[in-house]
Amino acid sequence: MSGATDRLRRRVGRVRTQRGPALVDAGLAALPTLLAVSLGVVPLVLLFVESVSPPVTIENYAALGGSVYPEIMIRSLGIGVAVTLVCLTVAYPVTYWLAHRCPGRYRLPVLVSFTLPLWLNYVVLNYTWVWILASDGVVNAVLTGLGVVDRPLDLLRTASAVGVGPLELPGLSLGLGFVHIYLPYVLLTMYVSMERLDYRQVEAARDLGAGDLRVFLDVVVPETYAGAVAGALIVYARIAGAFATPQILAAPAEQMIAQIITTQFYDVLDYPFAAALSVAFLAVVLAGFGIGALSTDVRAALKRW
Amino acid sequence: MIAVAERTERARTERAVDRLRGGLATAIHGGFFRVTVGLTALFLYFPVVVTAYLSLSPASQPSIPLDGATLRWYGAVLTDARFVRGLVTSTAIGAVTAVAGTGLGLLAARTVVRARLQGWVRLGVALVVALPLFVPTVVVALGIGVAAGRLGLGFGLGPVLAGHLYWVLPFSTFLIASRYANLDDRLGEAARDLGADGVTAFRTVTLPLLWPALVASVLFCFALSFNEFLITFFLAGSGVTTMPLEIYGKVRIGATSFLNAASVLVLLLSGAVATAAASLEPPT
Amino acid sequence: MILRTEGLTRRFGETTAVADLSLSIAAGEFFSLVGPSGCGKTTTLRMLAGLESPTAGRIELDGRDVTDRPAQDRDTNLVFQDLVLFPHMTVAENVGYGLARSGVRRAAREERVAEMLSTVGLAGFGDRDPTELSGGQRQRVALARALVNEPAVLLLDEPLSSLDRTLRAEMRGELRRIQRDVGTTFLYVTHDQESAMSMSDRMAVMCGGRVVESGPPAELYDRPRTAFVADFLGDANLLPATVRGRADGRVTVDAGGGRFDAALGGARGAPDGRVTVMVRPEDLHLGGDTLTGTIRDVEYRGAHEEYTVALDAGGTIRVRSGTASRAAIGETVGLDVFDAAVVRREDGDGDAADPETARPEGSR
Repeated sequence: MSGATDRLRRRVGRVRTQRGPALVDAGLAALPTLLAVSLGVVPLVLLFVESVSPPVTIENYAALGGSVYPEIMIRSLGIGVAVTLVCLTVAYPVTYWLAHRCPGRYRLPVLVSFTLPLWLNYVVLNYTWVWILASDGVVNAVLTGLGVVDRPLDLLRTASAVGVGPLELPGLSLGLGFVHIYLPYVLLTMYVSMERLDYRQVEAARDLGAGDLRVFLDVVVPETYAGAVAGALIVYARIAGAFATPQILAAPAEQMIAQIITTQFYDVLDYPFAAALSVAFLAVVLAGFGIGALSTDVRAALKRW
Repeated sequence: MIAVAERTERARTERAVDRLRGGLATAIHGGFFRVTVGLTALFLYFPVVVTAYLSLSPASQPSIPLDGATLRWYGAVLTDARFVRGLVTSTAIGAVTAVAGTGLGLLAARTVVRARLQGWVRLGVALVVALPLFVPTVVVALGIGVAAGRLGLGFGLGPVLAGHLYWVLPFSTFLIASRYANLDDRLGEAARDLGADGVTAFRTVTLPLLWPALVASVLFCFALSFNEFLITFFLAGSGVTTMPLEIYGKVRIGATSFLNAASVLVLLLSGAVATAAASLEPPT
Repeated sequence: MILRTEGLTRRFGETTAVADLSLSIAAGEFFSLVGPSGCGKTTTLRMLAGLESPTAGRIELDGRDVTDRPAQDRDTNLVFQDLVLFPHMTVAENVGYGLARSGVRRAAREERVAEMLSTVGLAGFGDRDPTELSGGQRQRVALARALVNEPAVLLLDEPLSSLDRTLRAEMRGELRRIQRDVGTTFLYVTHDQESAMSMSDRMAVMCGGRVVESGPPAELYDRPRTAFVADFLGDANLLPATVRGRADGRVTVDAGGGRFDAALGGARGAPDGRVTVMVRPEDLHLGGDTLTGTIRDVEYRGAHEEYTVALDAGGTIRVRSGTASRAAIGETVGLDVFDAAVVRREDGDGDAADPETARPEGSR
C-alpha cells in the first residue's frame, strides 16, 4: 500500500464524510426552494415593478392617497382584527376544554370534527350562509313561523352601523361568514399551544388558592398568548385579504380590498394600479406582522411550526 | 366540652358547604365548557345541515320549509357537462398536486429538519416555503397573474398547477416535518453502523417511519388543491375550469338548488378525504 | 492488537473533547473505557464507530488504517446507549439488518439470526415487535443486532445504564458469558466502574479527554498510581504522608497519626519526603492501634456500616465495618491498616500526573 494511494484514499474519504453530505443536501433543497421562490418571491418583485411602471413613477401610489382606497384598506384590516378576536374568544375555552378536560380517546375525533370545515370549499360554505340569512331563508322562516317577528329581518348583506371612522365592525352576514371559515384555523393553532400548557401549573395555582379568573389570567394566558398571537397574525391577514367571502356576503358599502384589487385587474384592466394597491396592502400586513413578531415569545411560537 | 362540640359541628357544616360549593363550581365549570363546545360544534355544522336539507328541494329555488323532497338536483349536477368537466379537472389537478406537493414537501421538510447546512440557510428555506401562509392570497394571485400576463407565460393548466403546488407546499412540509423532527436521528446512525449507505438508510429506515405523514400529506394536499379558488381564478384563463370556479359561476347566477346539491357532493367528497387523512396522522 | 489508536483528538470549536488518545486493545479482550460524565469516552467510541471524524490522529483496525472510512464501511458495530432499535421492523428484521446490507441471502440470514437470538437468550422472539419487549429483552436484541455481523470489535455505549440494579447485575453476567462464547473483542464504555471492573480483562480510566491509567481491574483498584483513579474506582481515603523507610518495593509512612506500610505503584522511582497515601475504607479494621480517632457518623448500608472517623491527629477518614465489629457514634476507636498504596496527585507532590498510554505490560 503506497503512501500516495493512502493519501488519496484519505482525501476521498474525508470528502465523503465531511463535505459531501452538505452538497447533497443543498441539491435536495434546491427543488422546493426554487418553486417557492419563483412563485412566491418573483411575482412579488414583479408586482412591485409593475406598480411603479410605466417606466418608473410613483403616481400609482400617489393616486392611492386621499382617495377612498386607504379607508377601504383600513376597514379591511379592522374587519380582520375583529373577526380574529371573536375567533380567539371562542377558541380559548373550546381548546382548553379539548386539551385538558376532554377524555383522551375523544380528543382526536373531536379535534378532527372541529377542523373538518377547514377542508371544505369556502365558496360553498359562504353560499350556505346566504340561504340561512336571506329574507326567505331559514332564520327568517323560523322567526316568522314562530311569530317572533311579523316581517322578515334584513340580515343579509347589511352593514353594521357600529364603527369609528373607517374602522367598522363587519355586518352580520359578513361576520358570520368569516368566523365560520376561519374559526377552525384558530382552533387548530390554539390547540397546539394549549396542549403545551402543563396542566399541573393550573393545579398548583388552585392549590395556592387561585379562583377561576386568577387561574386564567395568571397561568393560562401567559403560557398560551404567544401561540395565540402567532396564529392570529396569520389569520388576520388572510381575512383582510379575502375575496370570495365579501363578494358573497358583504354589503355594497362594505367592499374589501381584495375585491377592489380584482376589479382593477379584471374590469378596469389597470394593472399598475392594481399592483400598487396590492403592494401597499402587503406592506401594511407585513408591518402588522413585524409588530406582532417583536415579542420573542411570539417568534418562538412561530418557529415551532 | 361544649365548646369543643360546637367547634366540631361548625367545622362539619363548613366542610359540607365547601363540598357543595366545590361541587357547584365543578358543575358550573363543566356546564360552561359543555355549553360553549356544544354551541361551537352546532355553529360549525349548522350550515352544512341546512345545505343538505335545501338540496332536496323540488323547485330550483327552495322555499322554507320544503314542499317535497327529491334527489333530482344531484342528478342535474352529475349530468351538467361544464360542472362535470370542472370536477374532473379539479380531481386531476388535485391528484398531481397531491403527489408532487408531497414529494417537494418531503425535500423541504428534510432540508429544514435534518440537512447538514448552515442554520441561516435552513431558516431561509423555511421562511420562503411558508410564504403562502403569510402573504394574502390575493397579492400572490395578482402577482402570478401579472407575471403570467406581462411575461407572456400565459394562463391555463400549467400555471394553475404551479400555483397549486406553491399553495400546498407549506402544508405538506409542515405535516412531514413534524413527524420527521420526532424521528430519532440515531436511527440513521444505527443503519449506517450496520452497513447502509445514505440512500439505503433513507429507503429502509426513514421512509417507512415517515409513511403515515406522507399519506396524510397526499390526502391533505388533494383537499387543499381541490378546493382552491382564488389563485385558480387568476390563472385559469378561458380554457380551464375547475370545480370551485364552476361553483362560483353558479353563485353569480343564483342557481340555488343546483348549487346546494353540488355543495353537498363536494362537502361529502372533501369530508371523506379529510377524515381519511386525519385518521392516519394525528396533528402534533 | 486488533484495535489501535494513535494521538486521537477531537475538538469542537474551542473545546477539546478527546486529546491525544492512544489505546491498544488485544483481540478477544473485554476492554472497558471508564470515566466521569464529560470525560470524552462517548466521543471516542463514536469516532471508533465512524460516526464522527477525528480532528487529528489515526485509527487502525486489524492492521488497516480506517481513520477516514465512514461507518458503513467499517468492521465495527455499535450498541447504542438507547438501543435505537428500528420500531417498524420485527426483532428478526432488526437483527438481520446488517447482514442484509452485506448481501447475505435470506436463507443464510435467517439461520444466523436464529442462532444469534439463541445465543443472547431470545430464541423464538424473531417475530415479535421490539416496542413490546421489556428493557432487558430489548437490550439483548440490540446486542444481537450488532454481534451477528461478527465485527472485528464490538462497541458498547453504556448499554446497562437504563436498567435497574437487579437486571443490571444479571445482564453483566450475560454479557461476559456471550463475549466468551462468541469470542468477539468488546470495547465497553461506561461511567459505572463497578460493572466495568466485574466484566473486563483490562480497563482504561479517562479524564478530561485523556487516559489517566490503564491495566487489569485488580491492578487499578489495588494499586492505583493516581489519586484520581483511586477515588474513581471505589472509595478512597487520601492521607498526606511522610516517607520514613523503604524496603522491597514497599515504603513505611507516617500518616494520620500512625505508622504503617504502603505499596509503591509500578515501576516509578521511589518518592521521598512528602507523598499521598491511599487507604481503602475496607482495608481499615476496628480494634487495632495504628490509628486512633472518634466516630462522628454511622451510615447503615445493610451488608456493612460505614463510619466517618475523626482522627486524633486531625482529618476525617471513612472506615467500613465487618460483620463482626460494630461501633456507635461517639466511640473512640483504634484502627489497623491492612493495605495502603502511594498515589500521585495532580497538584504537586513529587511527579506531576501525566497521561499514560494504555498498553498491556510487556506486549507489542
